[in-house]
Amino acid sequence: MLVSSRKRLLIVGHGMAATRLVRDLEEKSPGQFAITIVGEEKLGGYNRVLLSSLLAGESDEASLAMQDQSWYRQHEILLIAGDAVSGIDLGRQSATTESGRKLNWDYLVLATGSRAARLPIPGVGLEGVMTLRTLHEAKQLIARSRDAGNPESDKKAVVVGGGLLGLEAACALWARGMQVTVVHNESWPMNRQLDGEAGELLRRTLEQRGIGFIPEANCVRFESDARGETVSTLLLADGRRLPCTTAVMALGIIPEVSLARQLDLVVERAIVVDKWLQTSDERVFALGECCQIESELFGLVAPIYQQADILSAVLLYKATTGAERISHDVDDHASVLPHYQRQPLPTRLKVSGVDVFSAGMMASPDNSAPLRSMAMRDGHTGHYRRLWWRGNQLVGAVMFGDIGDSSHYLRLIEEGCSADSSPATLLAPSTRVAS
Amino acid sequence: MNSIRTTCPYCGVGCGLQTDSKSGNLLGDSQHPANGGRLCVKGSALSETLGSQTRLLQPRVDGLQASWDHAIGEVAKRLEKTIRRYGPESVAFYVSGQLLTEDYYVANKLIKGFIGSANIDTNSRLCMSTAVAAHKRVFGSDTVPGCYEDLELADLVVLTGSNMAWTHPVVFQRLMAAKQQRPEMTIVVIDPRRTVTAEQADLHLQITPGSDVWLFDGLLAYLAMHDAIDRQYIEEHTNGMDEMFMASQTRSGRLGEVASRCGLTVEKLQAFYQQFAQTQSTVTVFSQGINQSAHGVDQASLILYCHLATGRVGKPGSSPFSITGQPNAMGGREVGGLANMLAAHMDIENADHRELVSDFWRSDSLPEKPGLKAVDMFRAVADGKIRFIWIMATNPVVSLPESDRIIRALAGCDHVVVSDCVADTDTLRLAHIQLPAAAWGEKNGTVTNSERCISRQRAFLPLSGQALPDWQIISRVAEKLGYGHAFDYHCAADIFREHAALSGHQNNGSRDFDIGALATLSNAEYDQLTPVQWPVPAHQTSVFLTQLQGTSRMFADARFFTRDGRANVVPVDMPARLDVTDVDFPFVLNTGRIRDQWHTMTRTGLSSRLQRHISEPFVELNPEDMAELNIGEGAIVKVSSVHGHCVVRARPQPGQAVGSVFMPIHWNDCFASKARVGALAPSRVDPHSGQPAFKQIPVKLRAVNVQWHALLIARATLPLPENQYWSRRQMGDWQVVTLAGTEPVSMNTCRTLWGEHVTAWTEVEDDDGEHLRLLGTGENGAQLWFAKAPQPPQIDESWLLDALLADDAAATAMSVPALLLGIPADPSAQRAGPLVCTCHNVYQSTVVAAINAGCDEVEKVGSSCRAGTNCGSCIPEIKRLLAENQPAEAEEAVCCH
Repeated sequence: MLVSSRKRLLIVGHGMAATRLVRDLEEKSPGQFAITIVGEEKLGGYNRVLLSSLLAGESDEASLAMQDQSWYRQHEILLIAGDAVSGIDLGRQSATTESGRKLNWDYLVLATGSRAARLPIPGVGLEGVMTLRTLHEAKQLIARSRDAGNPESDKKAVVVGGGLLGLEAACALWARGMQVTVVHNESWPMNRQLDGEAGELLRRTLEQRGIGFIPEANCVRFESDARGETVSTLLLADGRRLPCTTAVMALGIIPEVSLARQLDLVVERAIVVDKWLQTSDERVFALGECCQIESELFGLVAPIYQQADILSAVLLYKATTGAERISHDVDDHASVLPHYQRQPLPTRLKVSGVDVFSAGMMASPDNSAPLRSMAMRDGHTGHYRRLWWRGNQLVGAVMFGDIGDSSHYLRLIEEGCSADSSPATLLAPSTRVAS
Repeated sequence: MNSIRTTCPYCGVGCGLQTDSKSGNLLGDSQHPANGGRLCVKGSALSETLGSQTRLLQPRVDGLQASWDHAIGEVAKRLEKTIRRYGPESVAFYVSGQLLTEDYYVANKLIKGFIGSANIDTNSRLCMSTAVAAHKRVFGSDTVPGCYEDLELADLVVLTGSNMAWTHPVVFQRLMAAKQQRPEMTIVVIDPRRTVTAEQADLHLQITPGSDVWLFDGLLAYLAMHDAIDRQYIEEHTNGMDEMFMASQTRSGRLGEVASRCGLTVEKLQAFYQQFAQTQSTVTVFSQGINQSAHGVDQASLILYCHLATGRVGKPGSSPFSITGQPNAMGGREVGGLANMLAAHMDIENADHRELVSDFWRSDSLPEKPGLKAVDMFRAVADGKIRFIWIMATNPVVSLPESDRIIRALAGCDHVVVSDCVADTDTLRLAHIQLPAAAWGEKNGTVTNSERCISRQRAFLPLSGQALPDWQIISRVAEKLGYGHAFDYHCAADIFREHAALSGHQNNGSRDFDIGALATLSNAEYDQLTPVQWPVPAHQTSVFLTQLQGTSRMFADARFFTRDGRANVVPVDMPARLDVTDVDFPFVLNTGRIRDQWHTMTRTGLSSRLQRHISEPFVELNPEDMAELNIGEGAIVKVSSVHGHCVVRARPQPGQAVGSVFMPIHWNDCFASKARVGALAPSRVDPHSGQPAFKQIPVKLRAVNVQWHALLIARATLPLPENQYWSRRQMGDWQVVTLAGTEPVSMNTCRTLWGEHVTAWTEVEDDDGEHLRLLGTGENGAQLWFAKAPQPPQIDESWLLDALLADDAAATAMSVPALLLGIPADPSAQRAGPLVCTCHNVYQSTVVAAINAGCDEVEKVGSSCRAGTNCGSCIPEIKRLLAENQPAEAEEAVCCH
């Protein structure tokens, strides 16, 4: 029979990684696998990156979809939504879902993503204390901010965490009329992506908008209103009480690895895969936020799309050649197949009116030779940019205000071509990029 | 507006200018015999130098502003006091080839005729006195026999010690035009440097510095030995020629020996000698390379001898020709502005001449002995023998040798009076009394150019501030001293008539300088006076001005102004040793002018255009020497002699002989930290003329180890961070300062130094402050721009200056990163390399682009990008760029075949 001749591919999780993977598979070799995707969200496969934009009112729900439902039908991909895989039998190569469905597979891909981290303090269970991870949560937040623009309203929000997502959420809630305060446990916002100077500029810009920023903050507990159900304040260790009707915890993500652990796959902070996305079991793969390659974890879309591209090639190769584990020991594999390569990850803050760009590194990872840096500050506009070099190699860039040259910096960082630590590289990077 | 004709204030070519009756702009005067309408870059830029921003506008006495009455009173009082106490020899005037003949005449008359001191000397001592001494010794008078036309008529033109393409561009253009018409004409350039002039020559003799004397001695010997002489002329019109032949043949009769002394191949030497021997129509032009030498009079004499021996004096297309550096060096010579002359080409040591002048001036105090020549004069100031000195229109602290000693001498002098038209010069800084003189364009009078042509300088501008013409200042002092009766002049014409009358007084052809015909000019006729070459003796008095006949050439009749009418061929002393270097000072420094600057830059320094050809003080040296000394291009170099040192930028120059370096004379303490080349020059002078040997100075060089280079562009004169080197120039509204130094300069240092001018900073800074860029903005837009880096910051200066000026909204309208970088974001807007064509603002990159686009001739380059189509001073450089950049097109052609 035709169907049984195809290898069965089960993908657990229907986030952006899974969506991209099936797209790549179907583009490269349509119909090669009998694909089943199981996702616990009712609507899966949407662009999660746009959630803060949706929250800010800059995108609508329709624009979040990555593929419409008809596409899955056309490609005969079985979508199981609103259900979660609860158990996997490696020996029998089968899986069961919470609703009791039994699914057989030849290859298993774990794309379980991650969960939003939550504060380990009292009161996180109160109504109004939220994270922003899913479309459902985004919609809830929109509902909670309704009427905030009304002059009589005193809807206040606290965002815990001044990273990229936290600031996007803060700005989104601010755009919906809420009074927003960001509390952060480091000295400046986006401290992973920005140096102190750019962080300070960003803080000032937020404050000029009316978004409060409290650095070096330790949260003690969320406190409820008189009825004891809804959050009313956040208590900080220094005794300050921040009134809030909504609190968003944007503390980063925790890879979802519970299934992998059940399977006794090698798991550290996330599911350990090699550069071909293979787990310790040669029939099982993982990609996206739930995996780690060497020590690198993933949260941005670009490297995950790279993984999808690699994994689709690996799967097709294995299915067509019957190859077992891909490894360096087998020359063919290494030469035929792409493998994961670490790349500088540019970050842009997606908040209207605040242009921030960051790529590469700001400090030497091994402390061997300190990086050299050079900055430009524009006293009129407040624009700022700083580059970091190791020797004659540009390794990092931060821009604040005007990010027009960011693509040139990125190319210089990516291509590793020589760009000396001179003002010309800082001020006219286009002249340094080989045409 | 009527068009006013006048004469250029720069070099000794003496080009005519006229104001455009519509725009008031200055153009070349097509009717002037010297230039026929041509102008060089400096002349073309004159309009840009007429502003009053740097002018001295009021008298100052002991640092305070004073009225003219007070200032004149103080000059007279201090002069009288000094004379009373120390005698007339204790006072001196040091004047200038920049003065007009009338000013000069009055200064000379006051000190020699009435104060009774012969201590008046002039900066012409530094440039023309050797030619004067040689002319007088040989011809019996200071007479330049030929004229510019002779260069056009000659079949052989020898240029020795002259970078004419840069120093006398209009005569050079006339020569080049003639050469183009008659390609068979031969041009020989004798110069230890491969100058742009040398590049245009048919034959360049790149001789050992100072060896001209042997070259011409050898030529004289060669002419005698090859019977290439005019025996009849020698017998009838010279004394002592045969003895000279003997001496020359003995010393220099062997080509091989002469060639090795001169550092030439025998073939090259012989080619020159043969050419000279067989070309009847020969002009030898000599200038500073001959004059500024410790044996200058002897080598100039040898040039005259070679021309006498061949009968080539004062004939059309055949003559020796001394070309002068200054606009009125000749006028100064005519009035007796040198310490060893009297007036009207008469001698101070000649009793008859003294009596004649005494009678004419109705004076009884004429000194009987020559006064002190420039170098000795300032020595006497240092020794306290001269206690009052009045310096007019010149900047001796920059131009004299051992100039650090000049500073000390003036600083220790009882009374220093300086008349000048600008407010700040190195010399003015040492003056007790500063007198504001009228500038070019404001004053009336005459000048005489290198071909004895007297031209009017006419005022076309009102006097600035309280400035007065020099003759008025001097006359008012004379009046205060009680000599009013002899200085009762009402206008420049009064003085000119007296000067002309003196020249014709009891002359009757006995003296070369006779302009008696002009002694009766009415004021109106003086105003109308057209250029005329002296002599114009009095027997022409009946002739109306329009028919005034000047004298193009002299000595065509071979009658000289010696006792017996024959030219005197007197023995010369050959220098025992040419090499001035030793182990401690192993390089020979040559000095000279650059194309776009004049003297000490007080005027040319005001034109932005003229600052773009070469913008910093430099030392040029052969790339081999640079490698040997470990000096990189653009490095800061300390050049030291036994007398002092300079700190300038190194420029590689393959045309510079190994072991031989070159520095320009222009920069001084007003424009650079330490670039007065006079500080290096020894007071070694020619024994006959007293002219210093500026062309062969023993020096040593070493790279100054600077940590950073910087560029500051600012609206105001700003204090500078601690540095080892700076040079400053004015570019329109901007002052551009180039700096280099060792001590760290941080962002904070800069902000503290310049903060009061700035309300917002835009900046670039790296971790250790190695690279800094600053743009400081104030209420009226950009105030300053600063860049500091380990290597000299590379910017597109002309673009940046425009961009900074255009700004107000620099921060928004312009690309701020481009502004900080100093280079336009749009590469096609870049103007790179030095400015080649100053008139049309064409940069080297544009000329090269035109050449690469197929322009293979100067004319085509000109029609493509306009370079070289106005004054033509840059044509030699365009030719060089053509030679350097031709291949692309040529190769393509070869491929096609």
